[in-house]
Amino acid sequence: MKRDVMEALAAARPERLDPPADPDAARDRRERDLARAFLAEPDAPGSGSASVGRARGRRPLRWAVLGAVAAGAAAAVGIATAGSPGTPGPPARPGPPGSVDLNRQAVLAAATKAEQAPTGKYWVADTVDGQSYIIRAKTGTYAISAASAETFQWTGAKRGMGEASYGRDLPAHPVTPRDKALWRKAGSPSSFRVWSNDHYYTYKAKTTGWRSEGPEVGADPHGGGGFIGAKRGLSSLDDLRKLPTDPDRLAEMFLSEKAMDPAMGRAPGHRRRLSPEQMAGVKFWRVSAILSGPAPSRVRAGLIRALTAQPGVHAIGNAVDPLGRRGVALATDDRAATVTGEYGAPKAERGTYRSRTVIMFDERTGALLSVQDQLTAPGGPYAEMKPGFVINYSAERAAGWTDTKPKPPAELPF
Amino acid sequence: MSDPEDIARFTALYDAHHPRVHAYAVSRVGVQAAEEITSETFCVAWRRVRDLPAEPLPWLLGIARNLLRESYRARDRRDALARELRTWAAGQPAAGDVGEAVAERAAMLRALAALPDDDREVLALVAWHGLAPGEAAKVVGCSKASFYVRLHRARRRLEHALAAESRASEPDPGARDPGARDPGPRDPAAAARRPSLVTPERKVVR
Repeated sequence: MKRDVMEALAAARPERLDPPADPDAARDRRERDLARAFLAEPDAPGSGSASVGRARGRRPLRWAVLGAVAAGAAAAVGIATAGSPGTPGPPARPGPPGSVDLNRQAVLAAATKAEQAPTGKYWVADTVDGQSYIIRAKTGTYAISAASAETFQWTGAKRGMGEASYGRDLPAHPVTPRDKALWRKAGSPSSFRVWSNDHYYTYKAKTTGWRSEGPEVGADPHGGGGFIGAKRGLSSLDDLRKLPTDPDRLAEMFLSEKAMDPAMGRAPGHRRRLSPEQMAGVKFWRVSAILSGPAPSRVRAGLIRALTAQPGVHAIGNAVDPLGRRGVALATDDRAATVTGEYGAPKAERGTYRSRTVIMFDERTGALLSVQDQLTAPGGPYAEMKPGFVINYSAERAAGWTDTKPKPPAELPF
Repeated sequence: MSDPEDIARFTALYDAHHPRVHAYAVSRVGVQAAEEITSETFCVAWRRVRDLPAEPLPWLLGIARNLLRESYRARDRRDALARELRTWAAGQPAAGDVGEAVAERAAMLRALAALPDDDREVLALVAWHGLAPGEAAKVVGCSKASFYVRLHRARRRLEHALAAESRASEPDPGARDPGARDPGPRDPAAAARRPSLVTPERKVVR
């Protein structure tokens, strides 16, 4: 390194950082951006100063992006499918008031209740996610769930009622009784060095407190009134109430190829072909994004029916979700994924395995429980795991209306 | 009501700063998601136009930064970006680049890809986005003094990563690039990576 490293870095600045030079595209983009901005009125001076840079009332992409994330996701942690050793979990939390009723045989069942879901002042959604890693201890290989976080968000029913988002990191931990036993045998370590994609990372068995400042979280006392809906950006409660309830129309609005573009972060016309299995998995995430918001019960029922009718989607009966709750599940066909040495993965992590995406609902209320990627054919990094092993998950710990200002729960979800 | 003066001021702001906000977004989350983030940044900026500071660039990048944090989970963003950097490293050489310069740039981008995300951010703010440390500190929301410390540490880690990179330099750097060959049906993991740059390889490559 003869040259100053900062100069060398500046010299390596990728041209891709600059917008495309095409003048027509630039003009279109400028018109579109300005028109989009001018849709809103400027705020009074000083009203946003406490949180400069925070996007009021907008939380546009989180779930949408998760959809894309899941499109390619190839993993699954273990919901135990019916017949597997999981004990029946505690009763799932009550779903949103007036939410759907599902048939025991198949998720398809249906929600017949026509009542308008009563609303409250604040919509709360509490989500837990995690990723499994394999610990190859000398005393025996076991799995842990790590990279785990809980996100607690509340949103006022109308703009101006406020909104806030909190996050905390959850402890890395062995999941099944067998994993726990092997973890103890290995000396009950409290930190876990694991291969994550393209590097080693150490996860710890500790929890952080709730944060409402910093990455991905924050509070906006003037926000509120915006929810994930059918359009790009956020929808109002009224928009959600106007959604159709007919499954075919909902499928057209949310699950058609065209409708999936924004959910997958794709520009129209920039579609890449996904396998049918991937496509079905993306639809699970898309529907989960709507179900974790305050759409009326008939819309929720329609969406679940629409999802059940999609190609490549199967009802797989009862299962236990990653938080130990019983429910009914839909699954995609499985697909193969191969870990190569391309990113430097150690030998033990390489190889091919198969997995599918699973979505679970509370059969009594129709509430969304979780979406996860689940191992179907062991191999590669999961060679020593069993089918049903959950590779990653996102579980809804709670969702619903409340009239008192919500606070994130102190107790851990597991 | 929007008044014409606000509109003129905002339009000038857009024209003057769009490329730099876009560049920042690309450097944080990759090309594909950058357009949306940039557009959204200006939506927020318009609503705050009456609080427009004298030095608007750090303010705009601060908005973009918060949007990115709200919109993407940190792991996903980090993984998407690390992959994008490697793609760049193995990508088209810039016009006029020859041999050694190409290799040097590629090694630099790979080294950058190996760093923690926070390091990449401070380094890029200075080296790629041309911000003075005081401005960059405003973007990341820390004091100028602590920005200097972060920059210093990031720089040292970059030097180490670069040294490691040159030790590890292999005959076929193209092999690291997920886009360098058509994955074809035999490589479902690579196919699974395609839907979006924000697809974290953490999940798909495993």
